[in-house]
Amino acid sequence: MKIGPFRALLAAHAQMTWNRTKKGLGRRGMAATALAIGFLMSLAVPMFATFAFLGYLFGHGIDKPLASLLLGSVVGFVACAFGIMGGVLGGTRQLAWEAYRSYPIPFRTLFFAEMSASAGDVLALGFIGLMASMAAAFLTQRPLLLPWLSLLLVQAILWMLFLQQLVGTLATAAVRRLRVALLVITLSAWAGFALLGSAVSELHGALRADNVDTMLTIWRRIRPSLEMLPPVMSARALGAVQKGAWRQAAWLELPMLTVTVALGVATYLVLQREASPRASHALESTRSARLWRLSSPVLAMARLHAHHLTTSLQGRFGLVIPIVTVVLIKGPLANVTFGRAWMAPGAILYVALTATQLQFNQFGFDGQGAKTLLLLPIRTRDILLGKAIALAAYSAVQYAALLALLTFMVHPGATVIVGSALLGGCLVVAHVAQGHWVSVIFPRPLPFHRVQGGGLQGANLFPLGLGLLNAAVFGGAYGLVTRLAPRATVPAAAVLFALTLAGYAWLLPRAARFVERRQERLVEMLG
Amino acid sequence: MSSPLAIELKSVTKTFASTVAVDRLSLSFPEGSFVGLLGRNGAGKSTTLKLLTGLIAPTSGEVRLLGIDMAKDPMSIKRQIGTMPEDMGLLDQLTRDQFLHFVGRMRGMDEGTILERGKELFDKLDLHPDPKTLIADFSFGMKKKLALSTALLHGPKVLFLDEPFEGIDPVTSRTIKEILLGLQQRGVTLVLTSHILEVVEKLCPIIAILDHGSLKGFGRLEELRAESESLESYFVGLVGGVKAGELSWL
Repeated sequence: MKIGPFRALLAAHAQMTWNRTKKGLGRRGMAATALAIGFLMSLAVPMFATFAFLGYLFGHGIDKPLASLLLGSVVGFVACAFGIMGGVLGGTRQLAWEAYRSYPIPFRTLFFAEMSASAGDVLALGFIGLMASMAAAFLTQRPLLLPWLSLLLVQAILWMLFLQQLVGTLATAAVRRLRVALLVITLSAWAGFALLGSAVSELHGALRADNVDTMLTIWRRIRPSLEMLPPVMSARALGAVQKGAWRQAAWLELPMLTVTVALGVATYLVLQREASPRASHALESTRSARLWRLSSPVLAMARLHAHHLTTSLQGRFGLVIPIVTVVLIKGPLANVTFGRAWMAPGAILYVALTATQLQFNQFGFDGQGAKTLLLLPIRTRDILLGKAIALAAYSAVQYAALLALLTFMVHPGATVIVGSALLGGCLVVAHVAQGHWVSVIFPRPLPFHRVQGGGLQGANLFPLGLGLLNAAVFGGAYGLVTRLAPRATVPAAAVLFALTLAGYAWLLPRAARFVERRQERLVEMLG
Repeated sequence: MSSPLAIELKSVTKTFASTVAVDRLSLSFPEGSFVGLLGRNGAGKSTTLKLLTGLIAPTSGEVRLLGIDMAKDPMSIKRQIGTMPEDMGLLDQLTRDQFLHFVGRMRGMDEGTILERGKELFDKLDLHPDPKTLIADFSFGMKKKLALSTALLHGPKVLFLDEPFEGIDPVTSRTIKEILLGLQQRGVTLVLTSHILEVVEKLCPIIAILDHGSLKGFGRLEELRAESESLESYFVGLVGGVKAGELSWL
């Protein structure tokens, strides 16, 4: 049977993903991951149920302007949110493009294969699932609208996939030049605060005061803008079709189609440029080839690991995260930060979570070079301690930047700042200690020239789960103290930090012995 | 009086899941030997080198280098050996000098010696990239030269080289051969794997041939050649598997 290049690319991608996951996790790991995914899916049931309920409501009242307005807004907002989140989290470039350059495959085939493959990512599947549950409930009310609703939802899925690629590519390009990225994001953040600040504070005040009148005023003010959104117009087309106004429906569908095509063309062009043999994927070459002062094996390892963290795109991206976090806190999440006292520790927990892929894969940047480390006459304990120092220093920079920004912008108070810093310290030490084990159980090479490798799949989910567990344990302990004895927050956090450090000192030699026993796994997976 | 043993493998077996990569392999070489480890792809050569350098541990059996048990004191062994692994194991995001410096300092060498030896090695091997070029951007041959340089930097007593001539230009190849022969004359024990049998014939007085993880042939080159017209004939005769004939569609 003759198989076209499009199918061959997808088949190769599926086989590689499966083989890599199987090799990375082992049989027991696969079973554990399947259970974990099942558990996560069960947690997502309320979300699917909510969307199904919304679908039922929208279907019931689609001929009313409010239903179409809300349907279009929900679909558009969720598509954009998932697309941006996917791009930032690295759910981009699923196919091994470099490997396919030597084959006579037209770019459009690669592009369509890439789009199809990225629809299989966890985040995209989640989004498709939400849209499907909403559509199923909607269609119980209006089965004849199936083609038009499909048109809206398929376009929403395309928006999500295109945005994911665009945001991912732009983030990678921006972070390639860290200083430029920091400047652009900081300026954008200031501009955003200046423009949105008054609206957000107004809305915030309205929610706080439970002032229905103010909220209605705001709603009336933003409603005309929402009406102009292409997904809302596309949703209004459903109502028009229901009334038999076909011509009106076609006109209402046009803006959404136009934006979809525009996003598709933009994504095509951006990816074509990225895939071009002329595109340079190299980082700025080393600023200086100066030799390092290496006073001990531990510091040499720390220096090497710090070099990897600060020269890789993923590591550099992590340095931008504190600013992104502050933007989120001051902007979209302004109403869900549970007050000033929880803003700083919450932000610390978030930043700690974003670093898990680096902390739980400590040999990832070494790649084949892990062999060199294992062949050198240095103690495994020193290798691990060096990496721990580098990771701790990296996180310290992140936390210092974050807390400085928060101090300047929301004035949380010295107790909260010091307590949050100590909470961050606990999380870093705990992550790094656990990471010594996880890095050998699930080792995988980390790419230097991409924001993240492997997307949201397989072995990448485990560190995230473990990070969430740590956040729950340490954040819970911190929260308990602040609730029961607010004045004891700093001393309690200091004791917790000291205990975590002592735990690390106790665990380090054990971790070293574990790595020695399992170093074969590193050689097999990275070499 | 015979020389003390540099390398000793006692009934070493290595299995990966259900695959037996090395099967009850017993070998020993005195100090100053130059051994060519031959075999078809997947015969177990690289696994044997990984066992000898401590990158992986045997499932059963014992590995001793310079009289030291690898399982008991790997650190002493690592100090005295140099290794160029199959995929070179370089830290791709460093420059040539940074990597050499890193390896040298981790081996406890002072900066002056590293720079001096590095210069000599790079001159001999003609490895002069732009100082800011990352190893990731080196050609395959340049990476080989750098891996060889770092394996030689500390003056090892035993040197393991996995396919050292693959991807190397003829001039550098000649230089490497001369360096290796010089090392042997100074009493260094060398083990190399290669598929280029002409090179092995020129360099290695002792040959070990692996097939499916087992030792199929072992002896001095002249003894083996006496049984066959060339090392290649002997090798092919021993491991078999030559499939002659044309491809049906060409």
